[in-house]
Amino acid sequence: MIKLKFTLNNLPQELNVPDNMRLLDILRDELNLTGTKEGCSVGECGACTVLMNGKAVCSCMILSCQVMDTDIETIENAEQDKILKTLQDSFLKTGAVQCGFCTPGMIMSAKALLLENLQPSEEQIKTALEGNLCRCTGYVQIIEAVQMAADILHQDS
Amino acid sequence: MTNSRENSLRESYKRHPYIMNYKVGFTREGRIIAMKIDILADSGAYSSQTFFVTWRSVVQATGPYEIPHVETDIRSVYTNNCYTAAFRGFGSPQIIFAQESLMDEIAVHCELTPLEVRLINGFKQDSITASGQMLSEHKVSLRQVLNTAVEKADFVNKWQANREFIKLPPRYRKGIGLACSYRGCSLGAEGTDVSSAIVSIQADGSLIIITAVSENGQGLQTTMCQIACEILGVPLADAIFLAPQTSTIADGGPTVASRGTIAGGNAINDAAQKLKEDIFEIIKAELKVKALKDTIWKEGMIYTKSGKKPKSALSFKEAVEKALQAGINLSAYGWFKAPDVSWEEETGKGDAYFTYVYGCQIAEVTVDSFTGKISVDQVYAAHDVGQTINLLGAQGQIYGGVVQGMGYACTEDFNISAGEVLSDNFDTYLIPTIQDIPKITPILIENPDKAGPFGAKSLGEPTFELISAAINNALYNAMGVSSAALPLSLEQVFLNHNLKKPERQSMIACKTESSSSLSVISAKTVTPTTLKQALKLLADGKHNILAGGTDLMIKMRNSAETHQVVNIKPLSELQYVSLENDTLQIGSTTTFAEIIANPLVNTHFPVLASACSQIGSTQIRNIATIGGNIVNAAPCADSIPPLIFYDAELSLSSAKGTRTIPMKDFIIKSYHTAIESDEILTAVNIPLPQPPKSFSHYFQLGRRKALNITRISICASLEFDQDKKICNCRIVAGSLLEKPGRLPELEEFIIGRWIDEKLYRDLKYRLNSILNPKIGKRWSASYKIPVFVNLVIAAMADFKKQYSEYKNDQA
Repeated sequence: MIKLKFTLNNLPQELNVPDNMRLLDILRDELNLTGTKEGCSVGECGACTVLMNGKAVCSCMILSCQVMDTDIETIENAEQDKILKTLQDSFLKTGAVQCGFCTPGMIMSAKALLLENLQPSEEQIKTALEGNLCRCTGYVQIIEAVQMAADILHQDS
Repeated sequence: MTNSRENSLRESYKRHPYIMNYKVGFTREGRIIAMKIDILADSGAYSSQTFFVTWRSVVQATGPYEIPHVETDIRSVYTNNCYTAAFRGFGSPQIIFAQESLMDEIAVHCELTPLEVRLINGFKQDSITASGQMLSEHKVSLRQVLNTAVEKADFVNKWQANREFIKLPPRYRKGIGLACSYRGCSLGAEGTDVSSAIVSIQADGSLIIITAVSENGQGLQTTMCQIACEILGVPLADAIFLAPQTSTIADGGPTVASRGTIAGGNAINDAAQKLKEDIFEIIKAELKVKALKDTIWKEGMIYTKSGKKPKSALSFKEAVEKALQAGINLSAYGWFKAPDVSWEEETGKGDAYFTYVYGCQIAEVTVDSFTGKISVDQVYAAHDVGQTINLLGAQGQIYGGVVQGMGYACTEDFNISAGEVLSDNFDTYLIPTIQDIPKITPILIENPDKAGPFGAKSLGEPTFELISAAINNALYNAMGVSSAALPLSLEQVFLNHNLKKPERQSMIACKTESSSSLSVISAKTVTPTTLKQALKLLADGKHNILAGGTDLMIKMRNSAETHQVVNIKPLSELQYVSLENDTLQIGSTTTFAEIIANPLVNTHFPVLASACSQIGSTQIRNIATIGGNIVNAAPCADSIPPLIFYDAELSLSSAKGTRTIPMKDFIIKSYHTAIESDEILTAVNIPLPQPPKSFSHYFQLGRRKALNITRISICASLEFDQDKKICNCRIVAGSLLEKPGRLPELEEFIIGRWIDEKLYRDLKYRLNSILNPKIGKRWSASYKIPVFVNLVIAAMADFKKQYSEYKNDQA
């Protein structure tokens, strides 16, 4: 067991978890935050994307000991966070969600981009989301959604 | 319990693989007289939906063409492969690939354009299909979709222009291709075609909508609510969709066959119309109108028509109140029974479907003739949908269908060998990434159909079924050769046959007695605070080092063993990039994201920066480390060839001391290195390149544009002497031989030569004799050797260009 201390969606967390747990398991099984999805378990699909210290990472690739002292943000933070909320709204408006399984990961990858760049080009959006697979949408409306959110947030800033 | 992706890919059903023989007779003018089709379908271990899938294939096998003499046979066989059943398209993508590729072949024989051959044979109003059905009950819009798409894409001009290029071939060639289809809507004569719905008006005037067809993400809830709201004139926000329990609504058949809108929508239409009539009976006296048709229900209001001007009467809410007070039941059950269809099994004759949709897709591609890689640049997708109900959803179906179809066409190769699934996760079963998508232009064509709600028909599957044939025809336009098989993989395009892949090397490498299919990690971890502590822990030689974890996590997942893990990621002394004494030092736990953002790396080592930027994805580059990439020593590791190229040295530490080793000597073979079990790779040291002026070149080939496992890479640099002769050269091949490394025989052969046609010719001959004995009998040799020859020639051509640009700049 590891005694873990980290920040989750702006709140301090302390909990004991087994050594073999991945960040994904900690979120879903220990904390019941099931917004983060498990799609492939090998870092190929991005459904489990969360932010670690502001960077998009696959939570299936992070072992519990590596979570110590980090700042983790998940899709559940959409209730409080302006960027996530704006992305959520723009995903709905552009039809960027079909079955929805990839959506939380897509939105987290998009937030990592928007933290650094509120005027991204189409190429930059594609690079930010290249690790997130989607079977339904063909990605077109997802790109539109990120562009729309960026425009709104840029105008507000 | 978690169903792993591997288990899901093993146990879930797949599309039927088909082997198809088409024999066709046509006149010199291009009119098709006869077609004989013989198909063998792989049903896998169970029959499941094979009867139905293959039946649709039979109906549509000749495409949307009038052919007087047709014989179609399809047989399905049991095999020990994964069982096969319904998968978007349901027996149509296979036959469209064969039959629409064939149409372009006929066009070549008759010296017609792909458009002309389709217009000569294509269905018109009242045409008779292969099963003897007269297409008289709906608008036959094949010509309309074809002409609209062709015009929008400027197809004929582009097609002609690309053909000119074949005579003088550049490396990258453009192609344009089209495919069209007709598709029966809903189930047709497959079985009983009914559907059910409930519309319930609440006291506040809001609607509750329940249907037997279900939401899978296609936007069905919205569409169903839209239909009810349109009929009752209620704002969409006032409708609530409830997903029913199976037991609370009559069986309305499956949500398949692109029938959600047409079958579910008709049932909703039935229920909502009943309610509208019942409410009207209550309010007609007050409105002083005789017939429902004299009213307009819009935006929550019910107006009467007086002449052409709508006159305000009462709100929908008021009408509902009055109806409830009168004791009227404002919940209605809607039922849809499809118009009659017929089928005679013995003769293969009948009116197979009650209506059809028509579609045409045009693909523009760029083919890398040196490697066989197809990039789809632009797709025009014209579909007659009858009537668009939900525009955003309709466009979403087109985007999604086209991109999924592109995967089917180019990269999705379900690898199964003797019943064992070898492509069991998304690292081997390659679906398109966001980087692979073309520009897609959806074109919705509307010919309202009497059989559909507001005239709406089908869209979901037509969007998928056309693109593989369109890409194949574009390949023909670009290269003068098309393919008789899918997928159009690198090997299929380059060699015109696919190569049977063995089990992937990474799986073989981690196969031990303890290998496990449980996919659960077993680990004991320790996180030291200093390097010294870490080295002490490693002294027993039994620990695994965890840095970024992108390789170790996968390795542990495939193994039943409990791993002793030392987590070195927090050690700041290993995470840095610095320049000292003309040597760039990169700490081993520096991530690829940090490396590609580093100005020193970009200025002095552009080949390393390029290679690292193509690793995995943004998420992977954010955690994967250069040290891990080197020590894991995968044959496809992207950072290793550039490090050999730049003469890097590695610093290794153990409790006993430190040592350095040249990168080129570190890798012994795939997944095996010279590191001892008690050592940590602490730093990568790269000497700054010294003048004189040299030129560099890097090329990496993958099957996709992101999340790639590198198929082959080349790092090269050249220096020229006063006579423009090559005086110095280094070439490193990645993912080619047993381990990445320089090719000294090749370098010697090139030095002292001019870059000219003769060098290119000589290289072909010389490289084959260098590489053949080294590659041996690897499965990919027949592809990789000629491709590498091409890549060396391309590098030389690039150097020549760089050199002349440099000289021009100097002048």
